[in-house]
Amino acid sequence: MSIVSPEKGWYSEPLDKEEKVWVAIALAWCLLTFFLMPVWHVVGKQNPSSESYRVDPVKFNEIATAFTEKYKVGEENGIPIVHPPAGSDVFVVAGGYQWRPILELEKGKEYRIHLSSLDFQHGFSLVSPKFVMNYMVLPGYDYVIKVTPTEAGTYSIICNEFCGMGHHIMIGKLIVK
Amino acid sequence: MAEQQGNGGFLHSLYENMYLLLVLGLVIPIVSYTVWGLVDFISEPQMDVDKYMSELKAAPAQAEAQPAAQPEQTKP
Repeated sequence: MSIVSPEKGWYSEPLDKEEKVWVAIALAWCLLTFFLMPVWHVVGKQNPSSESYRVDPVKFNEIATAFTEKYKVGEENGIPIVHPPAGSDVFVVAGGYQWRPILELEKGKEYRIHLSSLDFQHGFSLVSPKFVMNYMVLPGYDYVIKVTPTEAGTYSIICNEFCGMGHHIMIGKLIVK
Repeated sequence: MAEQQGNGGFLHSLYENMYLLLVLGLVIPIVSYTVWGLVDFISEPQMDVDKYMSELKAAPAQAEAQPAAQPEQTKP
């Protein structure tokens, strides 16, 4: 890039043939990638739903606690395991270096997972051998993701946003049956 | 400036001032993204806490519906 302005009236110069071709290629590529964004949002089926709400962390914790008590079917290392009805709203709380509760979902059924944090910003990272799904979890916000598990198994949920001294032990679990 | 050349217009006169372009290139994204963020922030709807609480109170409990599943789930 030149440090001086171009000569006056430079835009009156006609474009070269090669220049026209390169501008056309660049424009076509821009348009292709631009329109691929909404297309992939539908076709890819892996994008966030972008559904979120403002919520008091205390209120969200009350809902999550009521949800956990309602559908609790067991416990693992002090973390409750819940088996919510297929197609229902489920609530996961991040806080105190834990993901609570452990969800037990049914294969092929759609769920609305509500994520929120009680303390700091966390990263909800659902890990499987085939893919990793990442979502931001913020205190004061309810982030909703629609999930339809397609393969049975036990999946790990790790925190991928450094949240403090216990960040490395913040490992949750999601079971699909 | 552009009129002296006999062609072009206001935008062409902008293109000839690289420092003005630099300022516009910084100011326009900063202002537009900040406004976009503020609109997004302000328009965030409130979660319907009462709706979920009433649903959780009304729905039949899973534990009551599937009591046989409990012993299996308690295994570590």
